[in-house]
Amino acid sequence: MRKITEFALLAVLAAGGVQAQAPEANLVHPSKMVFEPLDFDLPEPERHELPNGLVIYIMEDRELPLISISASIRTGAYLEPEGKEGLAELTGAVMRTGGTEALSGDEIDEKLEFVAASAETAIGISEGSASMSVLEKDFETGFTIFADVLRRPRFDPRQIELRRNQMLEAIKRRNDQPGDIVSREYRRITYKGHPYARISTATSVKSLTRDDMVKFHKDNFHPNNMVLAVSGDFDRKEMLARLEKGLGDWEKTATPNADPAEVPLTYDPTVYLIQKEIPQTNVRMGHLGVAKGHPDYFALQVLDNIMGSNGFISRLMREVRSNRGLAYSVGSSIQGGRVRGTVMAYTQTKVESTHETIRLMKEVMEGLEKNPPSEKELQVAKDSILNSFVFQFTSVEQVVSQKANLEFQHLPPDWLEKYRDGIAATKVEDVLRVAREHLHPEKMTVVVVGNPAKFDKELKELGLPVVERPLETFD
Amino acid sequence: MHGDPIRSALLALALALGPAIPLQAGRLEGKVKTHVLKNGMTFLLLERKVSPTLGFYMRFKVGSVDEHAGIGGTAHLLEHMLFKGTHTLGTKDWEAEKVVLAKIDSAGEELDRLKLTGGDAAKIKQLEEDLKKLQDEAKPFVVKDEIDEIYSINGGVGFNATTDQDLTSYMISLPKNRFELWSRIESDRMLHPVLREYYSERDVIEEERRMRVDADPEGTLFEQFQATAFQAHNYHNPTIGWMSEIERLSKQKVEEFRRVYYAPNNVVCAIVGDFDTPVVIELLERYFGPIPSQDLPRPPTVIEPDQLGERRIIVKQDSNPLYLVGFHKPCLPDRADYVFDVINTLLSSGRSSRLYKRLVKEERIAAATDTFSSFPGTRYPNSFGAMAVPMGADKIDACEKSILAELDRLKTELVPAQEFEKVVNKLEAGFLRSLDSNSGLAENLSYFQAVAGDWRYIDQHSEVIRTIKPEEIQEAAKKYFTDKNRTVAIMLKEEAPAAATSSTAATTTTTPGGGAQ
Repeated sequence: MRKITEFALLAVLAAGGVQAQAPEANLVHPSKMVFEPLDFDLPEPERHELPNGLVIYIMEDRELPLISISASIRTGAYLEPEGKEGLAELTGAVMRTGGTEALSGDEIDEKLEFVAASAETAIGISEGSASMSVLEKDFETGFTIFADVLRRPRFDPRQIELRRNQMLEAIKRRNDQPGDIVSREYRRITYKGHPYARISTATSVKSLTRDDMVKFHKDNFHPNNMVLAVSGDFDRKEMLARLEKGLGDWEKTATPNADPAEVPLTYDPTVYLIQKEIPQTNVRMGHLGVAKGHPDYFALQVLDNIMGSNGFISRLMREVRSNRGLAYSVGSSIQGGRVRGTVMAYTQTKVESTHETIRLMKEVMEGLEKNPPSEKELQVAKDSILNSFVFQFTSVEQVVSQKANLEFQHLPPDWLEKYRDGIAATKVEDVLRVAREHLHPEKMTVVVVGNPAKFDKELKELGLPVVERPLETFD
Repeated sequence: MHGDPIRSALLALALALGPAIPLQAGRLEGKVKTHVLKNGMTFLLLERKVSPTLGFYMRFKVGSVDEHAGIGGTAHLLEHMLFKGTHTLGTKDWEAEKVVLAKIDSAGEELDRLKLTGGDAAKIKQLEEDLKKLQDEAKPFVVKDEIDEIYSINGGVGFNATTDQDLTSYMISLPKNRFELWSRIESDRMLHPVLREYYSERDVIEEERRMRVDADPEGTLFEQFQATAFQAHNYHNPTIGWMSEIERLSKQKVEEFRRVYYAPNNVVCAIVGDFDTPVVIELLERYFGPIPSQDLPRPPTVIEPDQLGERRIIVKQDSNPLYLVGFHKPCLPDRADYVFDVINTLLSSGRSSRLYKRLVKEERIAAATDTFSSFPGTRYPNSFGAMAVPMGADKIDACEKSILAELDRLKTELVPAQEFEKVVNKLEAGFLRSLDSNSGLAENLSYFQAVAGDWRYIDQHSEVIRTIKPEEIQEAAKKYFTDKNRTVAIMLKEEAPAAATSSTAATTTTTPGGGAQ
C-alpha cells in the first residue's frame, strides 16, 4: 500500500469552535476555508501472469457478494481485411449470442439471466472487450460460460443472421441522429487513410461468412492477447486457482496481435458541410494530436482543462455558453491512446448562430496562445485535476480495471502517479509550449451538420475551403 | 441539466423514472440514519468508508408537474439559475450589482412583454440595445461561475443538477475533508441565491431543448407521446417547456417559484461516504438550521380522467421508424405499481425477455425492444409502455401486433414460477449492484425518500415483489392493457419533398392501421 497525500490547498482545520447561527456578514468565503489534509492509501492490485501469457490483475472486495471480471483484448476493426468491414463487430457480438460448444445462445441467455448474471463480448474499432458480472454464489455458472464464450464459441448461423440483420438495420439508421453523423464523419476525415477511418457498409456486412468469423476469432482470441481484471467477493488464492483451471490450458499464440499502426501527422484545414434540415447545427472541429505515452500529454491535459474539458471552468464554456448563451453543450477534448488521438472541440447551436459560434470557438482556441493562461487559470486547472485524483480510486473494481488497462496500453504501472506528478509540475510556459506545438486552430478540420439555408453567414466566411460532403447511405 | 452528459431521450427518461431499485431485506436498515432539522429539512446519512469521498444528493420536491400553462420550463430554468451564485458567491459587490440587476430585470420584462404583444419594432430594437448595455454594466461585478470553480479546485466531481416532472435534484461528489465546504455553499444557495445572467441562460435552455427534442427524433416522439396520453394532468407537458414558453419565461415568476417551493421542509438530502455522523450533524444544524421553514402550496389538483378510447398519433421526422405504445397506470404506493415493475422486467430485461425473444429473435421484425414504467413521472398516476425498433416501415404493424399479443398473454396465461423467480432475482441483483457507489446510494436513498416518503421503500420493495401472485399480474394486465387505455405513437420517415407527389397516392395504404383490439 502506498500513501498519497493530497495536494491540499490549505492547512489544518481549526478545532470545531461552535459558532452561533451564521448571519450572512459572518459567512466565510470558501477560498478562506481550511481543510484537513487528505491522506489516502492507493490500493494496489496484484499482477499474475500464467505460463500461456494471460495477464491477470486481481483484488478482493468483500463489501458485496458480487464478482466481476473484465478483459481487454488486443483486437479490433483495425485488423479487418479490406472489404470485410463489420467483421470485428459481428464476430464480437455473436461470440456471445451464438452459443458455445456446450450451450446454445438461448440456453446461455436463460441460464445467465435467471441468476441475474451477465457475460458480454464486443469488438470495437481499436480494442475488444469481454466482461462478466455475477453474484458470488453463481460464479461457477457464470465463469464456465464466460470461459467458453471466449474459447469455444459456436457461431450458430441463425444467430449470425440475426445479428447481421440488426447491423444492417443500424446502418440504415446511421443518419437519424445529427450527433452520430458528426462524430462519425469527424473520425473518418481525421483518420483518413488509417484503419480508424473505416466503416462498414451493407455490402461489406452482407459479404461476411461464418468462416470469416471463425477465422477472426481463431486469429484474435488468445491468452497472450489480453489482460484480465478480476475483483469481488472471493479468496484470492482460490480465485487464481480457478482462473488457471479454466484458462490455463488455453494455447498461446506465436503471433500476438500488433497494436494499430501509428497515424502520420497530417492536417486538413477544410470545412466539411453535411446537409440536414435540423433547427440546431452540430459541429465538431479539430485535428490529430498525440498518443497517451507522449511526454507532452500531461501538459496537454492542463491545456485542455483550461480550454474546454472542465465545464464551466473552461474558456469555451465560459465564452460560448455562459457569456453568450449560444450553446448548451460546448467543450473540447484532447485525448490519446496507443496511437495519436485528436485535439477536438464540439458544440451544438441553433442554425442562426452557426457561423458566429464556430468563429467564436476558433477565437477562443487561438486565444490560448494570444491570451495565455494566467497563473490563476493554471492553478485552477491543476487543483481541479489533482484534488479530484482520489476519484480514480473509489471502488476496487475501478482500481483493478484501471491497472489492467494501463498494461493493455503499454503504459507503466505507475502511470497514474506519473500523471499526477506531471500535472503538478506543469507551468504556464509548458502549457504555452505544448499549445504552440500541438494546437493549431487555423489547421482544424471543421465538420458541420446542419441546414445552410438558415445559417447566419455562409461557411466560406470562416476563411477555409468549404466542401459539401454528401450524407452517405453506406449501401 | 446544468452540464453534461448528452444522452438519448430514452436513457434520460429512464433515469428520470428512478431506478427500479429492489433490494434484499435488511440491506440498508440500521445503516441509514435519518436526521430532520427543526425546519423540516430531512437528511439521510449513510457512513461508508470504502473510499475517502462523499456523495451528496439533494432533492427538492418540486418539478415541472408543479407548473401551469404558460410557465412550463420554470422549474428547470430555476435549476440552471441556482448555479449563478449567491450574495457572497459569484459577485464582487452584491450591493452595487443588485442595483444594475434590478434595471436588467425591468428592461427584460418589458422587452418580453413588447415582443409578446407585437410591440413597435423600433422600440423593441432600442430595448434590446438597452438590455445589452445594462448586461455589459453588470459584467464587471460578476465572478464567473464561481461555485463551479470552487467545487472544481476542491476536487469536486459530478457537480450537476437535474429536473424532472416530480423533483429538482442537485448532486456532487467531494473528497471527504470538504464536508463543511459543501455545507457552506449549499446552505447559501438555498438562502440567498442570485439569478444573475438570466437572459443568456434562458437562451441556453432553448439550445438544450433543441438538442434534446427539436433536433432529436426520439426525444420528439416521446414528447408527443406524453402530450397525447395525458390531456388534463401536468404530465402532459415537457419538463423543459414548450419553446414558446421558454422564450418568455419571466424572471420574476422564476424567483417566485423558488420562494414558494425551495423551502427546507420541502427538501430531502442523502449523504453517503466517509464521514462521522455526530460531526456532520453539527455542521448541518449550523448551516441549514437557520433557513426558515414555510407553508407549502397545495399539490396540483387536476386528475387525468380515464381515457375514453385509443389514441394514435403519427410523428414525422427525418429518421427511421419507431413504434411506441403506452397505457395509464397507478403510481406508487399502489400495489399495481409493484406489479408493473414485475411486468417491466419480464417483458424487456435481457435477451431471454418476452419481447426480445418474440420480436427480435423469433419473428425478426424488430432490431430492438424495450419497456418502461412510471413515465413521465413517479409521483402521480403515470404510464407503462413498450417500444420497438422495427426492421423497416413495413414491419410496424407486425411489431404492434406482437407487442399487443404479448400483453394479451399476460391476461390469459399465468406467469410460470420459474420466470417469476427470474424477475425477482433480477430486481434484487439490480439493487445489490447499486450499493457499490456513494453517489449511487445517495441517489437512490434520496429518490425514494422524496417520492415515496420513505427510503425504506427500497428495503421493502423486494419483500412486496415476492408476495405478488401470478393472478395479480393477470388482473393488472386485464385492467390496464385495454384498447381504451392505450396511446400509440409512431415515428415515420418524412417523405423528401421531391418524392411527395409520387407517394401521396401510397400514403393511405402505408399508414399503419389500428392494431389488435
